[in-house]
Amino acid sequence: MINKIILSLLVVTLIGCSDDPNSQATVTSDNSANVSTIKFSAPTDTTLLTITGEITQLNSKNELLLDRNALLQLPQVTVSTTTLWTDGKSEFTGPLVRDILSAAGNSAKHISAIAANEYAVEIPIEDVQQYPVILALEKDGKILSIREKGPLWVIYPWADHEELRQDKFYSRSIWQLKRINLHD
Amino acid sequence: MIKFGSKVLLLLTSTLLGVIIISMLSSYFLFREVANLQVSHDKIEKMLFLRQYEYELLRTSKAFSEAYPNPLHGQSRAEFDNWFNVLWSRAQSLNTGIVGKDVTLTGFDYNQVQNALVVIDKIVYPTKAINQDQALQIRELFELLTRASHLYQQRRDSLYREVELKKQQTVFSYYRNSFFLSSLTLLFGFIVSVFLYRSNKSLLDMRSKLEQRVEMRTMALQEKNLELKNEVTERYSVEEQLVKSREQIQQAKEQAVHKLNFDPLTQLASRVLFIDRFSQSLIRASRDKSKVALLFLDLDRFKYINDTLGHSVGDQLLLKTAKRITKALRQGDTAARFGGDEFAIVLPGIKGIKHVEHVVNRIHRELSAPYNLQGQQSFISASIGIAIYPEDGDSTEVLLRKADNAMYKAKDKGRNTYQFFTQQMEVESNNRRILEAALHVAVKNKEFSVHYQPIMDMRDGSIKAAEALIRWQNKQGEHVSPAEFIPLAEELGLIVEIGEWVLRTACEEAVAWQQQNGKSTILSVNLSFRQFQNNDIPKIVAKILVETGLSAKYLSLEITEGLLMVDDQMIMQQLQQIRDLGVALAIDDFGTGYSSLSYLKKFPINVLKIDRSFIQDMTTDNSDADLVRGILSLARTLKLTVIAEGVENQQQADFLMENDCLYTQGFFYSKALASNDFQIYMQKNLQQQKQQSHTG
Repeated sequence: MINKIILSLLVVTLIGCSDDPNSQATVTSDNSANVSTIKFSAPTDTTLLTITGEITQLNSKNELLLDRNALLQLPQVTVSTTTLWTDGKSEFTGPLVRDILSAAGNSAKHISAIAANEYAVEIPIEDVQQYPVILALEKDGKILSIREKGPLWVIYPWADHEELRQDKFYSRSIWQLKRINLHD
Repeated sequence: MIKFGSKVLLLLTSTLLGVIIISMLSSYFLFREVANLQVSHDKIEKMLFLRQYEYELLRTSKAFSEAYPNPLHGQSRAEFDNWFNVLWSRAQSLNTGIVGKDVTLTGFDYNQVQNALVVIDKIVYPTKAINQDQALQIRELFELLTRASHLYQQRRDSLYREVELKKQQTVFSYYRNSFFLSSLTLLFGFIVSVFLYRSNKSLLDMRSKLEQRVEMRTMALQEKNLELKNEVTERYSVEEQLVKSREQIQQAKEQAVHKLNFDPLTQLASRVLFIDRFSQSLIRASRDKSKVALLFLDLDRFKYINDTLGHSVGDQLLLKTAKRITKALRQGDTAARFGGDEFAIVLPGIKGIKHVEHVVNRIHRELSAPYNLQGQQSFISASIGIAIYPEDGDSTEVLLRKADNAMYKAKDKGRNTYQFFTQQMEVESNNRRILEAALHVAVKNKEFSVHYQPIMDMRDGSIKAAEALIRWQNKQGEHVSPAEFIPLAEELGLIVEIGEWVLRTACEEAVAWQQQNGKSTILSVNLSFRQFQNNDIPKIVAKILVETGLSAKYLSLEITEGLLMVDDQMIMQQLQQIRDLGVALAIDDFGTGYSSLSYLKKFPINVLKIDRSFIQDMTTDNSDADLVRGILSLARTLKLTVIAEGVENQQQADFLMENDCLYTQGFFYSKALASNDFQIYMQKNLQQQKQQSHTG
């Protein structure tokens, strides 16, 4: 009992200290309000991301296929942060996950993300709604190759939000993202 | 007790707090320890990272086998490229970022991986086609990497296992300590609770006891209060009773005073109040030089009414009389009842005799009106004696006595009249007092003697009987008339003693004559009504007869008509008893009383003695002559013997003779003679009788 009380007290203290209003995420294009109106045509280039599940917009059989151009249709957001896997602070740029979902007409609560190495992780919708979580296409202005964990890398704003510096958020930072399945 | 308890409580509480603090500290340290023991995020990340690496390595290795030297299918080489790139990116991060560096630091051979990948990259990509040796080399490289990774993983896992075990042990020991401390806390908590409960209970007990005591005290107080209230109530009631009884006493006193001052029947003043008022009026009169009249009023024949109609009627009569007297009086006059039928009246402020007479007449007038007694009209009169202040005396006592005397005089005068006190009355009164004293002495000294008057038989002039008559010669040698002293002796009650003496003496002397003369003469002795009042006269007569030896047939006792008129059963009985002795009864002075002839039949009478007043005038007065004839005729009818008294001359004797009156008595024959003289007279008479019988 006492342990619990002390624990909860500690947690409360930590949360209280972690309030950091200086968001480093910047939006380069200001049409976020209209993302839901974007139409994705069938990909002309290599498909980078396949979205399946509870979505309204489809451009293939039961799925939405997105190439680089399609992703560039969305507002590009730059997140400046360190990662566990890179040295120093880098600037990651790409569309917000919530914008992609919004454009796809998502109504689900969970995101099942699958990588090229078959690594799979569940990302709650709350994460992308609460924080500017992006699908990074570029790092420090350069397109992410596969050898650089591209072409798509889920980046959380760790630098701006201390509370995100936890295992569960690190594990959700999936790189070489290939597929998203939206479900409840 | 409480002080000790509180000390213990303090000790226990502080111990409990200490244990709790220790427990908390222990928990904190446990938390710290566990937190430290936790596998840090980077460690997990590192582990995941290496697993991913291992998998990617295996897939890349497999993809290489499928793609080189001869591709298994069209996509095989693209797949290898993809997997190789993925592996490359993994290998890249083995040297960059926290995770990779950490992995390297814990003994992972990054350079080996890096070098192997660079070698593979250089072999595969510049030359579009690779030979069997190159492929073999690359395979060996992949195997080397796989083995190295596996060894690293193995080493790391065993290390982790040790850490895990240590962690478990620590956690266990901390949990054990924590459990021990918690148990200790619980125990102390329990002890404190028990102690608190007990002390609280003892407090509650004390409180309840206190409450009980308070309640008991309250009850006791209430009881006491109730008792007090009761006492107060009782006191009030006692006080009330006291007040009541005081009132009653006051009332009784007032009643007593009233009773003392007022006659309860008539509500007239009592003797006491009257005397007081009278004395006051005397004082006033002496100051004013005025006169006061004292009236003494006595109802005539009241005793008769009382006896015949009863006491309640008598009381009624007295009440009415009182009212009438009051009505006749002026304001300022005081009437009082002295008891019986005696009333006294004070008339203050009298100017003269006329004035008094006026009031007295008014009283007589008022009283003369008829009374309605038991539905019958009755009449009553009063005799009034009057004494005047200051002429007749100046003291209450003297005036009362004089008025009383005057009243008696009025009665003597013939009732329904009044009498002023006169000096003559005073003299008479004095004489009476002297006589009274002398009479007492006479009884004591036997100054009496008995004389005998013969009663003659008209037929032969013989002595039929002798009437014994008392004579009194006082010390001075003076003869006192029986008419003078007998009424007084009757009034004083001396007559009883005197009468008995006379009877005895007469009987003795009669016996003596018989013995000397050889002839028996009837002895006639007077009895007073007073002698019947003790109800013992028949016994006395019998006793005297026995003692003297006189035969009863030679004794005749004379009574007056008045005795018969009383109509008393007791008297009747005594007369009968006397008759039963064989003694004859005669009525003396017959015709003078208010007699009714019926008693002659009712009473056992033998002889009638016609009163001398009739005999005196019967030769001159026709009505008296008729009366005597009537009496004689009546006596004959009733078979009664008749004796005529007071025969004084020949004419009277002749008249009686003519009318067949057999026996006479009087001075014509002989006066009363002393015993000796009578004996001589008897002898002479006997000789004459003898001579007459000889000559006859």
